[in-house]
Parts: sequence; C-alpha cells; structure tokens
Amino acid sequence: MYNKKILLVDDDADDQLLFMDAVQEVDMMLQCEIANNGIEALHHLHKMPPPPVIIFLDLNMPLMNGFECLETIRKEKRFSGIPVIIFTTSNNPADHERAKKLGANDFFTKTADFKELKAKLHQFLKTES
Amino acid sequence: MHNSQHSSESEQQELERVENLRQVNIQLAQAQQIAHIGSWQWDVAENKINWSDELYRINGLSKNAFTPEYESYLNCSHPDDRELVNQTMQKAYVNHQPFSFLHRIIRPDGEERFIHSRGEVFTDDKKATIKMTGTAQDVTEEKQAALHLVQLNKQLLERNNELLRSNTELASFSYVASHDLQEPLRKIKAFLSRILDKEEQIFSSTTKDYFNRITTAASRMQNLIEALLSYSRTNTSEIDFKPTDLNILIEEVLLNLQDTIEEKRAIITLAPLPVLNIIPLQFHQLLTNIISNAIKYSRLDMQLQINITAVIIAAKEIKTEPALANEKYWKISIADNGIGFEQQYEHKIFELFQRLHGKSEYTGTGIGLAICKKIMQNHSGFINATGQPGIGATFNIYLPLIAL
Repeated sequence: MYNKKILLVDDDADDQLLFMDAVQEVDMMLQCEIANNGIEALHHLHKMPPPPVIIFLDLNMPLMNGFECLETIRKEKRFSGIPVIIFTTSNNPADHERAKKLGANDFFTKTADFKELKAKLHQFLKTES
Repeated sequence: MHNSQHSSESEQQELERVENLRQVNIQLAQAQQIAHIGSWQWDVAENKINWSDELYRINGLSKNAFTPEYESYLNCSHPDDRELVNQTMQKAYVNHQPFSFLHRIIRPDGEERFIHSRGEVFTDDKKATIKMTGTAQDVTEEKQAALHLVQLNKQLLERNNELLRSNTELASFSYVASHDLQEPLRKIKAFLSRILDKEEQIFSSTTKDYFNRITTAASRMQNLIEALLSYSRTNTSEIDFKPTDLNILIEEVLLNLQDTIEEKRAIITLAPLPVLNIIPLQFHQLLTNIISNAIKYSRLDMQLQINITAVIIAAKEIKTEPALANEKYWKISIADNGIGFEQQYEHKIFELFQRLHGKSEYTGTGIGLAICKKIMQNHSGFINATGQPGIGATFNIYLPLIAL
C-alpha cells in the first residue's frame, strides 16, 4: 500500500499552504504532516509511525528552533537516517554551515516562484524513493 | 669758574643718567603691561616686599590701598590653591631652588585668573636666603583657550562616536528592514502566481490588466529591496582585500552581461588593465553596475560603444577632489556613446534613490550608482562622471596607487 509521508516543520501558515499545494501537485498520493515548531515535530515523530521519508525543517520557529530540533533528531538512532532538508528564508552562509554540521542533508531557500518550489520538491522526493 | 663748570658737567651727566633710568623703568613697565607679566622682590633681611605696577594690576589691587606682605600675597590666591602656593614658596626658600608653577588668584571683584608664577632664590656665602624674586604672568586667556580646545576635542570625539553608532545602526536597520520586507513580498508573489495558475482563464480583461499591474509593482518592489539589501551589504560583509587582475575580473563581468551586450550589439574595447588590491566581489558589482548603466542608457539610433581604459594620474591633476590623501591614483574610465546626462546632475546620480529618468522610460532602482560610490569609499577611492546629453557619459573610478 502507498502510505509514504513527509513532514514539514514550519510555523508560517502561508508557507504551509503553499508547500501543501506543491506537494499535492507533485504527488497526489503523498501525505504531508505539518508541525508548527521543533517540539511538535518531535511529538509527530514519536507518536506517528511509520517515520516520514523526508523532513523539511524551517530554522526560525518559536519554542524549539530548527537547529535544536535537528540536533535532537540526529541524536536518536531510529530517526538519524531520515533526510532533513532545511527549508528557510535565510541564505546566510553561517546558517548553512551550522545546519550542515548538525547533520542537515540539504538547504532549500524559500522562493516566490511556485514552479521552482514544485521542481525542487520533485527533485528531493525522487532522490528519496 | 673752572670748578663750577666741572660741577655743572657732572650734574648734567647725573641728570642724563637719571633720565635714562626713568626711560628704562618706563620701558620695563610697558613691557610688563604688554606681556601681562608682573614682578616682585622680597628682601628677606629687611623683610620688604616690592611689587611692580603690573603685578598690582594683575591682582586687581590699587597701590595705595594694599601693602604687599607674604600673608597678603597668599590671600590673593584662590583658596583651593593657597596651600600649593605656600608649599612651593617654602620649598624654594629652604632648598634655594627656582620654581615655576600654575595657580589661580581671585581679584577683589571675585574674578578668577590663571597665573604662571616663576621665581628664584638668592643666598649669601653662608647659604642663607637673602632675597627672592619672581614673576607672575597672567595666562588666563591662554588657559581658557586651551580648556576650550580640550572641550572642543571632547565634543568632537563624542560626535564622532555618535556618528559611528548611528551609521552602524542605520546599516543594520536597512539590512534588517530590507531582509524582513522581502518576506511578505515573497508571499504576495507566490500567491499571485497561484491565482494566475488556477484562475487566469476566467479573468475578465479588466481583471487581467489590474492583475498585471500588481505583478509588475511587486516585481519592482522586489528589485528595489534586493538593491537596497546589496547596498547595505557593501557596509557590512566581505571586506577582504586581494590583489586582483582587473583584466580577468572585467572578462567575468562581461560574461555575466553577455546576453544584454549581444542584444544591444555593443562593441566593447578594453585597454590593458592593472592588478589592484581590491575587494573582488565589490569591484565585480561596481563594474557590473557601470557597464549595465551604459547598456541601459544607450541610444537607439546608434551602435553602443564602451571603452574601458586605465591610466596613472597625479593627485594634483584631479581638479574635482580638492584634498587627496595620496600622491598618485589609478584612474579607470568607462566611456560610452549613449544618451549622456547634463553635467549639473553629476552629483545627483550618485545619490540613493535619485533618478534622472521616469520609470517608464528606463527601468532602474536608483540605487546602482549609490552602491558604486559606496564601494569606492570602501576602497579609499572615489568615483565621478562626465556627461553630455546625446553624446555619452564617462564614469571614472580612482584608486590610490599603492605597491602590492
């Protein structure tokens, strides 16, 4: 059965909507879970098996930011293998560097171009399947 | 007869001597008055103190109403300085050492004056002090001028610090503002494109027109914010100076602009360029901005030509900049045969958000040349431009000539 799911961790409602629209258009069967911050993300991971095939993680979030969330995910053995793509407005090289060190697989700067969003999403999902 | 003649001759001589002495005394008094230096003598053996006229004047005292004594001399001093005066005098008296020090006095009318006192001690062959003599110079004006200068210096320093602070604040403000402004704009553009994707077929022609106008305005705002962001970035990041071959750098710039250069069929001629110690990224942007401008403001009825040259020039030959720190400069000129500009607008074009043309005539943010100006400031250089309407414009950038 087809029950692949992905997890978006982002507190921005607009970006959640755009992201889900893009996921729908890329793969109608794909399930997209949403977490509003790092704490919710960890909650999702623990309470909702099977784990997502890929996590898109914003950096600037309340309660627990992307860096802390990433660090925690990488520490836990059963989640350490899940690809994490940093999904953020920041194109600060220092943030890239820090995320990479903490175990992020790639960096995806939020775009105004919906077609680009879809194309990138398609590319990331293809690599994961 | 003979005798009386002799006597009157010596009387004559005596009179002349007295007259000479009187003249010398007058001269001395005048000199003291002009220099604001009074003098005193203290005959220790007879305990007699004598003040010059100028010393009375300096202390604001009248010769008739005041008898100079050691105690009364001390009483003329500022209460806070009295101990200093007393100790200095005592020490000089005991050690037979000359002295020179600064103190304040208070005149009977309450006016405070600064006095530079100097003095010497005379002893007999048994090393006993027999006489002290000294001068007192009124240095109030000099002292006040010096104090004023110190105050001015302090104010200048404070103002400099304030300026530095507000500059830094402004830089971080414009960075944060432009960065944060990008966010809502990105969403506006994203949702605009979503509406267009989904609903374009059912748009009325009016809606389509309005929609296009919104999209154009959003794109323009995006350009403005990006330009503002790069303007504020020239403040903060990337300050690595590296010896850079301008011949290679310009090739990279031209390669980036290849599409627009080909579109305009521009002819670009390059003279050999120097290797300079510069911030490569910033210089890349500088040359890109200037060449893009030449392309943008080209004439439609003529093939665009851009000539890039480099010469070494003496500072004194640069008439537009009066006070230059270095003796020699590299002058790199980018000349075009485009629409040019009126020379009176030269300074305007380098200011932020200054445009000479309407937005509908030529696109642009009014930030490009302001960035160029800033970049040249970062390099301890400067930029200027000459133009003639309908004939062309030349942008000159000047960099101090220094050994690499």
